[in-house]
Amino acid sequence: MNELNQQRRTLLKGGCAAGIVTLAAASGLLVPGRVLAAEWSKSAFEAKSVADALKGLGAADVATSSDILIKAPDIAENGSMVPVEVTSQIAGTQSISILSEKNPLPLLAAFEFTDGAQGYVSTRIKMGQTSNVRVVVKAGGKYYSAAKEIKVTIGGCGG
Amino acid sequence: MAGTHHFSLTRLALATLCAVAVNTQAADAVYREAFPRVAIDPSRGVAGGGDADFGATLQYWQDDQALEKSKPWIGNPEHEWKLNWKFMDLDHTDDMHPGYLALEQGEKLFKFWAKREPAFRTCLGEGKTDFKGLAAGYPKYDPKLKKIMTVESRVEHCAKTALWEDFKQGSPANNQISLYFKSLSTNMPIKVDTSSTEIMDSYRRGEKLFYTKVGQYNFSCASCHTTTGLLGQRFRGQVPTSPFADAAHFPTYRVGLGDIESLQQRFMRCNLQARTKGLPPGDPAYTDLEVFYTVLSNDYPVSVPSAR
Amino acid sequence: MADMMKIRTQLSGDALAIKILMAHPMETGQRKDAKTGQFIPAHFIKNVAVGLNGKTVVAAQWGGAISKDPFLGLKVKGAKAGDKVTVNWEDNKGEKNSAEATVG
Repeated sequence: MNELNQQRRTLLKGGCAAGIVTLAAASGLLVPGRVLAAEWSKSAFEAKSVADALKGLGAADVATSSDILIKAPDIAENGSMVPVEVTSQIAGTQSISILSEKNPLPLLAAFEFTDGAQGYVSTRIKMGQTSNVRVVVKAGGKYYSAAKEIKVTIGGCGG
Repeated sequence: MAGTHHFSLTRLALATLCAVAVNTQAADAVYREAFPRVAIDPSRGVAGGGDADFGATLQYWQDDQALEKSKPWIGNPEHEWKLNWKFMDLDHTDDMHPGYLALEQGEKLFKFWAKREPAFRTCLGEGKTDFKGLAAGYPKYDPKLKKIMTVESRVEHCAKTALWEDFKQGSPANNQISLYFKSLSTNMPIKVDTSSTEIMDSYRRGEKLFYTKVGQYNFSCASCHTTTGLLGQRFRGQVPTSPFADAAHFPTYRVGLGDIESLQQRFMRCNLQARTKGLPPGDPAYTDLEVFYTVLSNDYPVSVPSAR
Repeated sequence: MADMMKIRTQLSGDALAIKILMAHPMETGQRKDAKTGQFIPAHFIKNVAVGLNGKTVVAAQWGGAISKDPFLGLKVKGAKAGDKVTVNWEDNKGEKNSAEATVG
């Protein structure tokens, strides 16, 4: 009885796996790949320091700006998902890059904007420890920056 | 076959229970200290101000409106804890969190199996095919199975009997289908039947467990989650939450885990963090604790999917 | 689960707010498996392109430190009801996914 059962279960499992694949294909989301516009800047993303990451991005003579607004919690309960919202009020914002200064690889993301996209981005980031989150904005060929400190507490019982 | 299987599971559970000594039988053999009790009237529920002796914080965070009004307290150490950290929940700050992905997966999984084996649907719905509102009545006593059933144990039971599949409690498939099942009662008030003798017996056992000290630190749930304990005070840089209306959010997405977890998995993890050997999800002791916790959520709306 | 993506759009005037939720493990490559002690291989989305009516408006490059099941919120000017929003991503293993939504 037990063996029979086991056999039927194995069969069902096989059937299930096949079924799920069909389901995924039928859901219509598996559209054949399209070419993505941007390259991936290996030197910037694999840089281990903020300075090297900025070099990799081609950012030089970075000026501090108060026109970059960073909305993020002062204290993050868990460093694995910290919401960060960036608004650049600098006219002609071309790109926004987000760095967590004390992460092993500081550069988290770089966004390029064209055709009506506003200098705004909202995402969730991983932070290894309490650190400055630095935002670098490129506008009119120049680079601007702002930072906000986010304290990361060690996740525990909370909730 | 099913009987034998069940028997061995029960034995395993009993063995674990003896090691932790939290059920009444084992408690005869091992002495356990208890945390002083705080009076809870299980008939009051959330609407009746059941948390009066637990800081009465519900009024500040029980819905978006109350939370909005209390927001000036954020950052104020004297008052912030009264918000029960609800302002940190992703479901209050954003309607797009990974809990929704797990829900979508659960819906797909359920529909796949229910199409293949319609008995799975009727088993989950206990004869009903429309699940709307059903989850709000869990946990409940099943007179046919002669057992207290949680949504998760119902999913496990129906998978076993209708599909011959093992969707063990705490497994991704079980959590996802349970989340989908509960989502069909979202925003409907939780109504655990406190007039049922079996439920109230289970509630009393769960209540006793809530106050029983266990483990290396000799902690009970109450040591942290009552105002005579640490509720409202900092502990490891954090302020413990109220046990009221907590069960309503499970299964919930935990950012620390990167996945959804059931209430009983949460019990297990909380036990481990307090250096106590955890029990497997579905253990009768955890079911009693879930009954206790869910009665403390009576009247509060089912709040899934949620994320924290 | 990897095939899942959710897109929500909200139009006020010609300002379009786009919210995207993608299912992806986003492994940094620096995390160790608690059981084996081995590093879990890096697996993360490297490129995301968001398009409006077939034209890329935001092109993003990501590292592994964007949170698991990434969220992305954007704002675009000059949109109208009926516009098509497309999202394409590609990860470091060459896996791709795309989804489309119509502005309501």
